[in-house]
Amino acid sequence: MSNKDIKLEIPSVKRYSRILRLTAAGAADASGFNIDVIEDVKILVSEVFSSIIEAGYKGVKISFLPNDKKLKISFETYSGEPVLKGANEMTVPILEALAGSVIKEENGGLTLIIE
Amino acid sequence: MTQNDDKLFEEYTQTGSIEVRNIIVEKYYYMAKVLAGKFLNRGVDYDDLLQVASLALVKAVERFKPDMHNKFSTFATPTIIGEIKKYFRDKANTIRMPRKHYELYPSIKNAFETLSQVLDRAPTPQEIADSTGHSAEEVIEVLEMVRNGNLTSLDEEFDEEGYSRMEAVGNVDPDFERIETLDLYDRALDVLDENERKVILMRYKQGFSQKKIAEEFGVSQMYISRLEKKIYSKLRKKLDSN
Repeated sequence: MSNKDIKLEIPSVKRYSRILRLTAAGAADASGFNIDVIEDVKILVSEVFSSIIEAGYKGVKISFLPNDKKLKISFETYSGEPVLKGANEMTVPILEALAGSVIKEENGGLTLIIE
Repeated sequence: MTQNDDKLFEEYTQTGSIEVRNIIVEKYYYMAKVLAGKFLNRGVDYDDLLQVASLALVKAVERFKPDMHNKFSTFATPTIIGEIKKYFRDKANTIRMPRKHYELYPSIKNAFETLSQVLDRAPTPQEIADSTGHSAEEVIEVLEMVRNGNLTSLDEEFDEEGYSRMEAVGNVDPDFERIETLDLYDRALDVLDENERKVILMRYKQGFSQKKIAEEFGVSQMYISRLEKKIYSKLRKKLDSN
């Protein structure tokens, strides 16, 4: 992680999804993306957050690393369990269709790279 | 994918039967609905998004090869998303979010002022959202934009005589469009059969949704969606030839 990361810890409360989406939109904006990509980023984080809630996890730690036309978003559950355990059949295809890279980390974390 | 689905895809691959294809499409129609819903609030109506997603679903069913691909949902999701995104790209000249935000601002501002008086406190974004029909997220975004930007209301008076900016904005005379549409309508309708004419009349003169028309005809919405596509294609050919 670099010292330019934006870090967020969100308990699994459905209405907090808005906080995540707005933060993600801000990070995407800081990466220089246009409105369409910013909207895609909001869909991406919502998908992951929904699967976190679905899995019954207590919450998720998220870090955003904005760069020039590139945004890295990393997810890690509080308990260190696999982020996508609660994913439905469409979650991963949606992530893959909207993010450049979807990396399932060995520690159960998930990294999305949008560029 | 269930065994039953496997059999359906196998049958479709072997026979190319439109009936079988339609059964598969109906079965996975929920995917089009879910994915269309993901792209709401970008300036395109849900019905239009659903139509694009539905057509993409049909394409996905036609292209899916059970022996080559794993799960249909894994194959179809990027296809449908790709078509929706293509639709947004094609519409890029007419859909612009910032403009949408500008349009939302007056109603949000009015709701803010009214609710502040009624509640005797500042309203929450959700209360403004409930009052205006926008989402709370849109409300927050628009208010954020107003704070950071130089947004000016069209209702704001901009000269000493009290004229608002809205009054200075020109309007297209609706009669021009009506005359053009009627003329076009008369010239183009002769290429359509009776049912196709009915669909067009219901859709564009009576303002019915595809779902409502499907109910009237006693067919699926998917059928109306396909019929509409066919009608557009006929009309396009006719207009191109003119």
